[in-house]
Amino acid sequence: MSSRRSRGGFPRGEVMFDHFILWLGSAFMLTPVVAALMTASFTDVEIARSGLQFAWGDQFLTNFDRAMNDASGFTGTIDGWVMLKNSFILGIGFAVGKIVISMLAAYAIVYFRFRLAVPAFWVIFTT
Amino acid sequence: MKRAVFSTRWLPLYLLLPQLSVIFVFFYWPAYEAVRTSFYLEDPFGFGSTFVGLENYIFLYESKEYLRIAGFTGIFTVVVTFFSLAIALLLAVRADKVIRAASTYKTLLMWVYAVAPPVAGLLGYMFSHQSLGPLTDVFAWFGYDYRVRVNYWDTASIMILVAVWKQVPVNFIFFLSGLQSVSKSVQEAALIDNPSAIGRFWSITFPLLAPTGFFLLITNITYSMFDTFGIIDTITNSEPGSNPLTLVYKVYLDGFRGNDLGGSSAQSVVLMVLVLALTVVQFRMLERRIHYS
Repeated sequence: MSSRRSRGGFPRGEVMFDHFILWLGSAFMLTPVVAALMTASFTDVEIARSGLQFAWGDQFLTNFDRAMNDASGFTGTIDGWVMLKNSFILGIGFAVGKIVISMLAAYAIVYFRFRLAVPAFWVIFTT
Repeated sequence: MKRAVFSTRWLPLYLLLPQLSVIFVFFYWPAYEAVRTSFYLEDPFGFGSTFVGLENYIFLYESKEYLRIAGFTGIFTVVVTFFSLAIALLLAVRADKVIRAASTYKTLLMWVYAVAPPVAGLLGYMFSHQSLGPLTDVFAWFGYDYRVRVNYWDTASIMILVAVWKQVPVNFIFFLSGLQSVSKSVQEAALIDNPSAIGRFWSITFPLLAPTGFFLLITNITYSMFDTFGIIDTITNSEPGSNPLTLVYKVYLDGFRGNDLGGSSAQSVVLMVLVLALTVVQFRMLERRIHYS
């Protein structure tokens, strides 16, 4: 056991291999995200003509400004910020509502002895 | 188990009431309606309906198209579940082991968790675009003509790839927390007994991860069957034609595009029974086989 060891106690080659796998995994996960971000910095004409972009263009701020501030919809007042606000309210509402309601029900089933407890559990669980 | 018994009689019912009413309004009532309409043939323009008994179900059973979609859904579910679990487990085991840059890797690998399925589908489509996609170029180097939205299995492969990509971070997070709860003393004892890292993994770590793994197995099956709607919709441009579909997409297609409410309801009832079976299996397994410490 005289091979060189890293601080963790594992052989150096094995540690390198771990990093290699993690690098590969990170690349697999992040390439599309990076591509999306870079593509967002070109004009839509350019994207329609040559697809995904793997370089930086100069339209990044213009595109985001359009996505967030261009108003549309029936009343002409719906822009990205309004939609973001709506999504946020719904998201928080659902999350908090779900947790509170199911916590009450779980509390009732666990801490009280009553005849309906078992049927109530199954009624909820099967959904 | 704690049993603090309160003598209040109505309080537990009041506590259950919100959950039960939500479930009745948003699940049992629609489910009842689905079962009822599945026995009817609805007029596509809303002028009444005719009772046809089990005809909608018989039609499904005899429809080659439906059986093909069911077959594809099965393959899709198995492949997506397997690969998203396997990749996530591999990455989680490595990320749990390394010391340097561990938190950087974790952050990078969790990132995609925040990507919405339709966005993921759109990205997948742009990567595999027939003439402009980088993936298409890669296949072209190998002499293969990759044609998404035209060739059945080409489209299927990009759907599977996107669905796996989207699901890996969730599984990764769960596996990582599962691995962190495997006690260090057990791992160190195993290190003395078995010098092989792979042997240690299969004999110690994997069985201890079983509860996490089983939970993820069920959630991944439901994910691939039900939550990939957005991915399929964007990859097929909402016009699936002869492209691969899952059963959920077929329900939507027949019900909302084809106005065949009866047939669509029959399909949702079939799916409902499937989910119910899955839930029962999950519960039985939790009770008997998998032990949480």
